Formats: sequence, structure tokens, C-alpha cells
Amino acid sequence: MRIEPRPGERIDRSQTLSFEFEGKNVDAFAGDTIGSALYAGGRRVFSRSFKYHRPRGLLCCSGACPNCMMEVDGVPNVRVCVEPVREGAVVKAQNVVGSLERDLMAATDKFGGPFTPVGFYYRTMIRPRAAWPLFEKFLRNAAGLGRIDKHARREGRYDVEHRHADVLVIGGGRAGLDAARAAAAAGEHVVVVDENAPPEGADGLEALAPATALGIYEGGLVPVSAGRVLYRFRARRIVIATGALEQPVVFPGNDLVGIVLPQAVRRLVDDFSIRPGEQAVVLAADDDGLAVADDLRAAGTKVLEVVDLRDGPHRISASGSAGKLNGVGIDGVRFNCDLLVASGGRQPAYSLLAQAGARIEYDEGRGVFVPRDIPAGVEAVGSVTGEGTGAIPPAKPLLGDKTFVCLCEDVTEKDVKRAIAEGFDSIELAKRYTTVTMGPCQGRLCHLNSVRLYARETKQGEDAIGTTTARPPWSPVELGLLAGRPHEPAKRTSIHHRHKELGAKMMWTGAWRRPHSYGDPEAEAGAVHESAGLIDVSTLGKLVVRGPEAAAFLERIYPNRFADLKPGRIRYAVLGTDGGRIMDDGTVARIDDETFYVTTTSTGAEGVIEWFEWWNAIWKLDLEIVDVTGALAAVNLAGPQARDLLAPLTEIDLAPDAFKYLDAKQGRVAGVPALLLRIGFVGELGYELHFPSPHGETVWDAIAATGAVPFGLEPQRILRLEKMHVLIGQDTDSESNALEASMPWIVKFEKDEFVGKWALEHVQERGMRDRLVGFEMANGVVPPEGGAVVVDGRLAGRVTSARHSRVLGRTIGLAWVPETLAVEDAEISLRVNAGLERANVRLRPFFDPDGERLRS
Amino acid sequence: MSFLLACPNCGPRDVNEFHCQGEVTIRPKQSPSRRELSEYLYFRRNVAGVQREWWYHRLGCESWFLAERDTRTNEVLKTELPE
Amino acid sequence: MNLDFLSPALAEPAPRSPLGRALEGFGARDLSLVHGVLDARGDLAGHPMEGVEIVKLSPDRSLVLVPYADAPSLRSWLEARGVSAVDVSGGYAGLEVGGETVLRRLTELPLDRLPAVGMVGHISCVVLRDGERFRLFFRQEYADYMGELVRDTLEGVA
Repeated sequence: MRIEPRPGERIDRSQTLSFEFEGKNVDAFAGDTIGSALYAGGRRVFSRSFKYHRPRGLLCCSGACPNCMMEVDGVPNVRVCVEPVREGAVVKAQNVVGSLERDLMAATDKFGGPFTPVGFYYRTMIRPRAAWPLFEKFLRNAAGLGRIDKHARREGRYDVEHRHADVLVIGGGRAGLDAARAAAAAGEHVVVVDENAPPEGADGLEALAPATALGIYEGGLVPVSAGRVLYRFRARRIVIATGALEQPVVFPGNDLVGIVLPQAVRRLVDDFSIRPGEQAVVLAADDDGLAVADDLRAAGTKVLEVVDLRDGPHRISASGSAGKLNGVGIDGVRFNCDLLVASGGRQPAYSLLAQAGARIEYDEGRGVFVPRDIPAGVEAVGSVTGEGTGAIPPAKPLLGDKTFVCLCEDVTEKDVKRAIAEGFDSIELAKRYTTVTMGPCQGRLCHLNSVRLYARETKQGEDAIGTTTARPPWSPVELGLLAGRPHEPAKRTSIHHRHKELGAKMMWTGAWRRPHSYGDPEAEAGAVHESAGLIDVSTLGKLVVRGPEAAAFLERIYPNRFADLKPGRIRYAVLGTDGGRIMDDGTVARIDDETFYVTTTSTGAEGVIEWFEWWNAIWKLDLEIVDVTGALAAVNLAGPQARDLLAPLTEIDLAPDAFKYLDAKQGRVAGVPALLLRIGFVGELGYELHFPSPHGETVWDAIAATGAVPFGLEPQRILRLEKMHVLIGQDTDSESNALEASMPWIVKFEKDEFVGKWALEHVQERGMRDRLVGFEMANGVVPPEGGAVVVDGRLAGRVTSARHSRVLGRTIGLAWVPETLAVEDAEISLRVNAGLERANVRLRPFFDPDGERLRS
Repeated sequence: MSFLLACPNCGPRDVNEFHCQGEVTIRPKQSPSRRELSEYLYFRRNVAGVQREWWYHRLGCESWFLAERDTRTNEVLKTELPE
Repeated sequence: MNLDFLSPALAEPAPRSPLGRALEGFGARDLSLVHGVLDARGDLAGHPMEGVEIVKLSPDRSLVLVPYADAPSLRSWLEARGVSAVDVSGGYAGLEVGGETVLRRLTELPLDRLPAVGMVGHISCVVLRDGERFRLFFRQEYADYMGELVRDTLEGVA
């Protein structure tokens, strides 16, 4: 019941609020939590336990235990003891069938015991296997925490913010604030973080509260969750002042409603001005715990007995009716009471220190685990170091049912002993088998007791048993906070919006957005063969490689020859790894003696730049490599009419003998400076224009206005396949080399050295095993890319590309086949669906094999 | 992964600004046998301890440098530009 | 033949900003056509230029921010003095936005050690500071992405 106003109370009695609990109205003051308001109104049973559905009441009143978890406005598992009241909130009990007072599932408690010992689900409900869905449904409904409403829709905005500080103090208690003030006085930039309301006495300091430090990660990264913002802190020094946690006492009946920890009394009396009970007994193992007897008396509770548990072992057992405490026996003497304050001592909250790399050691004298060997950059102050803490050992075993070690998971002393008897004799195994520490409290209230129980039962020291691994997050954290804002770094060319305006179907290639086609891929491919097509190839990687040793560099890094490439000429280039594998391909154009312009594949660009830079970090040749991939846009105009359409837009002489195939020329197109490369990926007369990106739309518009038909990646794939042009990464993989990929002319073995030479020499020596060849289907079926090539009933290769070609009237493709079958017209079988289809090997380009159209 | 590396040009930065090429290896001086070549290409010492590695500051200065990192703790003890 | 085909300022038509659409209607200023960028190799110490800002990446590489139209001429001037420079103005988009909190939501870079080049919203970015205003330069292919990211971040801070 609510008592007279007290100085320092956190409620504002001038502001009243109300919310709904199980359909009934509940009054509250501003500053109340939902739990304190319910308690003040007389509620004592707050939840039903996980497995046995036993009534549970407030225990810690500070967000550490599971006992007060309810559903608030559709959100399950809310700890109402720390959840501020909200006007009109709808609060419901969870994990009950019926009501908190009469939960039908409590039958599990009365009768289920023999059927539900620790780990029962590893032994029962396994057969018949077909019945599992039924068992599962039963189990899921019988036990658990809150329920997720699958149809609920909640929106929230979560942000992530990076913060730097000289000193980050975690814990705004006495020790933390002392450390913070000292650092601030020394001129350091300090930030204090505390899980609860802003700490008193923090004036002048920057305090984030309520905010939870979730863990300590590599590099001293401390994520702090504060409502809807996740702060990622990097501090030169991290001061851990997380204090110590009051530990429950283990005795028969220790989970009855009305048994609380001292901090619950402090919260109820001091913060919310509530009398916690009428008649109380206080059992504690430290002075602060014993002192709550004074808080109780000040609130009007009659204190019957105060026992200092440090003065020797005591026989304790509690009794109740309908789950509520009505008395406690201490060494044979019974006290009738409705409130029992029981604390076995305080265990340092070392989790963050353990995550930072400290060693956790058992302190025999104190009876608790303490952190040692704290790594550089981290400090511990206050009770988390162990000073002022200590806990009593668990009492000798008493006959008595329901002596709880873990309240979250309903694990009793008997369960732990049974687990040991079954052979789960290491703490990590035992934890996973019994599920102790795996519930909502995550070990805050049960880890120490369980380790000490283990020690007693297995007759080992606690230090030999050790602790389980401490992991983040310290408290539950909403997934939205971890997800942050959903932005995908997509790359778009400067012509992107034209493609959208034309109705292109966009697709991803790596991080690029590119047009798949503008509606009719086969018609687009047809336009390239019949008139002229225009494609945006701005995504190509582009490098300027220049310097006195630029040619020498290219000679050394490519299998091709480049030293003899004349200015104004272009060569197709294939880049190989040191293992002789194909890494990327593109073109190299020579601008002048010392300047080369290199293109790469769109998705390989970044890798090629890194590769070039790495080799030159080793070779240290006199040259520069400049990445101009984004600086230049590029378009390819291809088709028999390409020359006629382009001529009016440029002063460059496009006549066949003036601008030959594989020439590079410089001039202007539509008034924009450009480099023109006469190359032919798509097999028709064509010009690839490279010009500054800010003029992308201008040049595109000018060429499109001439009647050139925009075409996308899909028609480009058909066209290049007709010419049997290899697509790196599609037709080759990380094992393919240029020799077996049927490009032997690329590899200039006469060169003294180039990256990959040794490996390719070995390939030559051992002979080729597989080859990349073209094929034509006997009938029009298009085999799946990646599909098998079958020879004599065995897998002998795979199809890498396949398309139907309208201009050829046939289905064509590329495939890897055994060397012996790399013969013109050889027959191969390809798996299509469940059957085999016949195809014939082709070694020369399907369309215009002599390149007459290309070189026209 | 959230450790920091001190780029010799830019100073300490989050690891995600970089690309790790892996252990520093010794390239054969002249035509290696198939075995020597395979060992160079595919075998690594993979120590549980301090490893010398190549790193590229891809989202910063775009330079290659060397680092000595303890593979057990991700503590980077030293970084330097290649000679 | 030469590298003039790289310079957007040498074209007759007007250049278009990669951020032209992305920044419509919200609180960030488009700088893409205000500054040109030169990728310079070598020591710039002996070659003083006015009206430019130098962001040194490494002992022998700097990015030089110049008035957009001056990029070609400044490039020639440097080349004539033996400093290699490539006009990469076409490769960058730039914007100016205000507020430390906005920046802290975009990047982990320490804001008291600028200018710097580092990760902003997953991509590489040149960050400069003028009091409470910040200038960000990044690869133009990310213009739509950065526009969306900055707009969203401003909304979160509001």
C-alpha cells in the first residue's frame, strides 16, 4: 500500500495516470512504473513461471529477474518493475491459461513433476516420430514466456551514432561518478552511462541514462543502447563501475511470492513510497542488506527478525499457501510473515570485464568471482572489483521440494544434482543441459549459486569449475537498434535516369544497377545486327597507367605483350593470377609512350586496382596508377549504321581506313571531349566512347536522337555469345587458365617474366585437360547454364552460357568439355531437365566468324 | 570484427575501411617446381600468434602497407609502409 | 593524344551534377559543380596554388580541390612543373551539410581531425570541416545513395 510522501520519492503525486491491467483500470502517479503501480494497488502475483507455472512476485524490482514480465501494448516480456507508466497502456499477464490467480497450466506443477525433470525433452516425446508436431504444439503452449502477435504492426525509427570520448564510465554509482569527476577535473572528455535514471550527483558531467552498455567488443568498441539510438563508443579509457548483484538464497520454498531481495525494498519504499508488506523477516549477508530493516520500519512494516547470515550456517525453509508466502522457519523457529527479504550476498557484475579480456577468478575469502588481469585501456572501480562484496555458501541440502537455483527456467537443486549424476560434469555442459543461466536473468541471479552448488556436489573447488563465457548483450536489445538504417550502397551511372525513363528493367551486377533490357531483348539484339544499338557501359573499370616504366609494368603483370603496342592502338587484355588463373579481362589502349588507358570488367574494377597497386608496392616501378572509373562515362554504339549515325556528331574522321578496327582516337562528340575506341565485344562495327561523366546524359541524348536503339545487358549477352566472346566469371571460374579457355594467343611465353608464367608453363607441360568450347544444340532446346556435360554416363564438364540466337536461328552456347572433345563437330550430351540433349562442338565464332562485319 | 588498425598515412581506423590480403609470403626466386609453386600459392603458416600481413586502405588513402597482428586477439602491434 | 578527354570543364555543353535529383528539396548544398578535383602525384610543397584545398592522402599522393572550371588549366600548370596530375573532377559528387550530430550518424571518423578520407556510410569519402558545416566528396556513382542517406539522417536528427 502507498504510504505518506517521503523526501526523495520519485513519484509526482500531483500527476495521476491510469492504465488497464487484464481489462481493469489501474491508477498510478507520474514517476511510477507499471509494476510499482500494480503493487501499490495490492497485486502480488505478477507472473507464472516458465515450466511449472508457479506464481511469482516481485523479487528484484530492478529489471534483473523474470518475475514481473508482462505484455504491454502488445509487446511481450516487458519487465514492468522498471517500465514507466504510460497513460492508457494495455497490460496483460503472459504464459497463463486463465488468470494469474488461477492458471490452469499450474497442473504441470502439481502433477507434471515426475514427467518434467531436467532435460526431459531429450528423453521423452521422441517416439512415435510422426507425433512430434503434436508434442511440439503441446510444449510450445505449455511453457514459455510472452507471445508474439504475428499480426501486430509496429513502426519505429532506429538510428546509430558514433561517439568518441577520452573516458567512458559505465555505471553511475558512487565509484563510477568519483572516477568520472576525477577524469573531468584532469581535463578529459568524460561520458557516464547508467542503466537506470540519470544518476544523482552527475551535474557537470555528460551522462547518458537510462542507457545500457551492451558489451565490450574488439578495439574497445562499446555499443550503448539508449531508447531508439545505438551509440557506438570508442574511448581511450573505459572505466567499468557496474557494481555487484544481490544474490538470492537457496532454500526450500525460495520462489514463493513475497520473497524479495533488499534492492526491491529500497526501490518500493524509497522510490515509490510503498509499504512492501505487513510482517517481515530480513536475512542478509552484508550490512547494506541488513540495513533495509530500517527502510521497512520507516514504511510501517513490522520487522519480526533480522538474521546476519554471515554468522554461521542456518536451516531455512519458507512455506506458503496458493503460492504466497505465509511463514519462514529459521533453525526450527517459525515466523509468520508475508514478506521475507533474503540476500545471500553480492556478486560483482564482471561481464563487461570478462568480455574485454579480464580473467575471472574465484575469491575463496569472499565466496564470489572477481575480475583479474584487466587489459590495458580498461579499468574497474568500486564493488565490481570485489571490494565490499561477498556471498555465503549454499546451505547443506535439506529435504524439501522446490528449492530453486534458477527461477527463470524453473531449475531446482534436485535438477542440478540429477544433471551431475547423468554425467554433465563441466559447467559449460551442465549449463546447456539444465538451461541454468540461459533465461531472462542471464545468470545475474543464478550463476554464482549454480557454480557453488556444483562445487559442493562434485567436491571440487569453484575455481576448478570456473564460470561460463560472458557474452554480449548485457541486456536484451531490440533488433532494430542492431539493424540501423536500411541503406544499400548501390552504384549508378550518370545515365541511370535515362534508362529508368525509357522503362528499362534494372538488375544488379555487383553493386551496380544496370539495364537488363528495355522490354524486348531479342529485338534489341536484332537492332544491333540490322541498324545500330546504344548501350551504357560506364560501369567498366578504367585506369590511367603512366610513367617511364608504365610499359614495363604492363609487360610484367599481363601475359600479353604491351611494350610493342603503338600509340593510338588497342589490344584485348587478360589479367592472370600468380597461379595462372584468369582474374579479369579488358582492353589496353596506348595514349602515348608513357601513357596507357586500361579498362577492366565492371565488377572486377576494384580488385584490379588493388592488384596493380599491390604489385607496384613490391616492384616499385616508376609509374602512377590513377583510377578514373567514375570520372568517365562510356557508351558503345554498334551496328552497320554506327559510322553513319556517329559521323555528324564528331569531327573525327570515321572513314574505314582512317579509323581502323582496334584504333583509338581522340576528339569531341556532341561538343564533349572523348576518347573513341574501335573495339567489338558485340561483333558489329562499333565505337566505344569514353568521356567525362557529368556529360553522360548529353552524349547519350545526342546519339539516341540519331535513331540508335538502346540495348541492355541481356541482348549484349546474346550478341557476344554469337561471337563466342568469353565473359570472365560467367564462362570462366577461379580455376580457369587462358590456355584451356581457348585463348592461347594471349600468353606470350617468350617474355622473360609475367605474373602467372610459371603456372602456365606447368599447364603446357602437363597438357590441357579441359577446354572451353562453343556448341550448337541439335534441336532448339536451351540447356541450363551450369548444367552438366555428360560423356559415357559420367559428368565431364559444364555449360557456362546458352542462348537462342534469332539471327542464326539456332541455340548456341559455351561449355567446358574434356580436351579430347575439343574438336570441331564433336558430339556431346547435355543434361536438360531429366534427360540428355545432343549438341555439337564449335570452335569458331557462330556469327561472322572472320569478323568482316566487325572490321568493316 | 571491430578492431582498429593504424594506417601509416591516415592513423587509427576501423578495420572495415581496409582489405586484408593475408600473410606475407616469400615468392620463389626463379622457376619453381610444381610442388614449390603450389606451396607458395596455397600453403600458409597460419600462426596462432603474431602474423605479418598485407593490408590495403581501400576506403581511405588507397595505399598498401604491412601490419603485425596477433591472430588470437586481433591486436595490431605494428603497421608500416613497405620498403 | 592526351588526357584531355577526362576534363568535364573542357566540354562545350554545361556539365550536370550527379546530385541534381538526389538533393532536391532538403537541407544540403550541392557542391559537385563548384569544386573540381585533381589526383596529384608527387610533393606539392614547392608548387603553391591559390584558391585550392589540398587533402594529402600519402607522402606522394594528394587530392586537390579546385574551382570547377579551373581544373584543366591547373592540371596543365602542375604537369609543366613536373607534378603528375589527372583531372578526376568527373568522378566526384560533393555536398555540404550542417551539424556534428548528422556527421556522427554518418561516420566514425573523428570530427576534430579533419580533413580526412575515410568511411562514411559504407563508402569512401573526403570530409572537410568549416566550423559547424561539413563538406563531403565521394564517388559520383554513389550520388543517389548518398543523397538518400544524408536526407534520411537529417530526418532522424530533426
